[in-house]
Amino acid sequence: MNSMNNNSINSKSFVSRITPYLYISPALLLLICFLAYPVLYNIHVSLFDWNGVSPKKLFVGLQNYKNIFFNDKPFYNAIGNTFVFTAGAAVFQTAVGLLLAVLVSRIVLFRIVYRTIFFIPVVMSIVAVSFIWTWMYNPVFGLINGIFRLVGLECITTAWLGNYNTALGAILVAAIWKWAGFTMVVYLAGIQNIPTELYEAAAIEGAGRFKQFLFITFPLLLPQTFINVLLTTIGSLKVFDWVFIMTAGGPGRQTEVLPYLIYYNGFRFHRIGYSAAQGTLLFMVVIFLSFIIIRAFKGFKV
Amino acid sequence: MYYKRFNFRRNVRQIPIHVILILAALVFIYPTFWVIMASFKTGQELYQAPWALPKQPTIGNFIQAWQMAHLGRAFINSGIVSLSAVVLILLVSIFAAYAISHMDFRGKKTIYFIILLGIMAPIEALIIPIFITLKKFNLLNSYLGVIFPYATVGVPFSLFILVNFFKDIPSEIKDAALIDGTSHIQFLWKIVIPLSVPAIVGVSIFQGSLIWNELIVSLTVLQDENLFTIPLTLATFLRRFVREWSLTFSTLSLSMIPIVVLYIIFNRHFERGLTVGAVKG
Repeated sequence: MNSMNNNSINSKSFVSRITPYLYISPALLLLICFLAYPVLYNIHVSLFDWNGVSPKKLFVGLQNYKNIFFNDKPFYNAIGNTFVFTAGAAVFQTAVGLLLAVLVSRIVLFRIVYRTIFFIPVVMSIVAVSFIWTWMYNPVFGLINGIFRLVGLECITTAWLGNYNTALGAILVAAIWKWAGFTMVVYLAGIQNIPTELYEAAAIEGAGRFKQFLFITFPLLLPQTFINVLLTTIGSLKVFDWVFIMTAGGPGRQTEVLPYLIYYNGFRFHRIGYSAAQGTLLFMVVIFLSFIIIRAFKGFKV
Repeated sequence: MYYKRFNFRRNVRQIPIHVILILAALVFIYPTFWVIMASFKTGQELYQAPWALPKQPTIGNFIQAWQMAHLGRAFINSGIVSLSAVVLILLVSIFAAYAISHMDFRGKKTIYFIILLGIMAPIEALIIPIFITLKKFNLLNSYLGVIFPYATVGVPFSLFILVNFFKDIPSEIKDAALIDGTSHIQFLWKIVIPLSVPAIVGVSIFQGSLIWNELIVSLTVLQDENLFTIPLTLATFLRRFVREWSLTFSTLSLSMIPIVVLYIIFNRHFERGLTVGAVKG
């Protein structure tokens, strides 16, 4: 090869050896400044008692963490809420998406129309969706109670966002409404890759629709299920916008989730060190759960 | 799978499925539809006949919402921030993806793995240090103060998608380029990028819509009302006027309609941005 050009793909000069690092350095620079450094700085700040503005920073070591683990009921409450919400989302968001995907994949007429309609909430902002559903849950004028009254189920009507028992579930329903189209689209892509001969062979063997789903569709969709569960879990652990708009953590602390607590401790109560400690813990929870999910699915993928 | 002719027998057989799907579609579209319809009604009509279609559609609510919430300004801010962040993501990711997919260097696998870890990083847990960092660099309350964090969050996933796409470029093309003595830049610019337009467009639209709808970072960083993005404007403005339903609905509608319309027109590209990575992953 006559590669006299110093920058050509095959040369081994110094320039060509550092070129890859040059190409990758903007990405690394950005990630180091605004991701890696904040992660480390978060840990650093969590070791202090600080209000964010005054130069007076008191080194308290692991005191913040001790306070969180031993003195802080709201923290455990927030973790509980976050986990309940995440589990609910991981199960139902993917289930609804799967159901929709299976139905949509079976029909031909209007398929694009259905797909588009289901995906529209995905592109709307969480803020907008939160306001829409806040109105939907309005005890007097909202659509939800309106429908119940219409069918004579006045007894079920309640202030969905104000009721201790229903608030978190209400937000979960809204979140599922928003994201089911996303999981559906991921599943649809997977379904299209399943060869139809498999279904034909199964039909010949006498397998009905449900058995076909259970033994062909669902197992072959494992990669998509993995992606959906992983992304849904990560996304649900970070939930902030919904709570901020719809309930502000209420009623009581029923919908207070960890990211909301972090924001509040940091920017309303000005307990920066404390908030940073909670942030570090949330970070570790997300990474930890992500690895667990990856591990679990790697086990299935043979 | 697509039959050209309208198969009557098959469609009739599938009516039950359509019934379920129509019900589901109503659930997924009616709330949005209702809010948009409601913003055409006057306040009185809203209370008297909340479910009926507006008898005398009025756009007065829209005008009021636009002015009071300064939606024009908010759209411009969101536009600037989203566009800049996406451009930054593309610039950074395309070069890095090329290096990872077409170059060899020490530590390549490790660096790639570490960057991919960034996909899982929750920025909600990092708003405190990001706030302090931005404050130190005097970037608080500025466009760059949100553009940089947004770009940072978007790079790992975009990199993943682009690397997969770049890797799929047949090696014969690269061999041909080698024989010609092409430089990396030429190869990247003239061959790799044009071949990857679907992935690039998909990534841009996907990241763009996430950034457009983002709240917590802009809430933390932007203090000056003049800089507020759309979600931030909605959050602060609507909380003040939450009792004024007409105003609330029309503000919501104005902020939602652009992206919903954009999506309806370009829906293939939106979904491709997701599945390009999902199918391969």
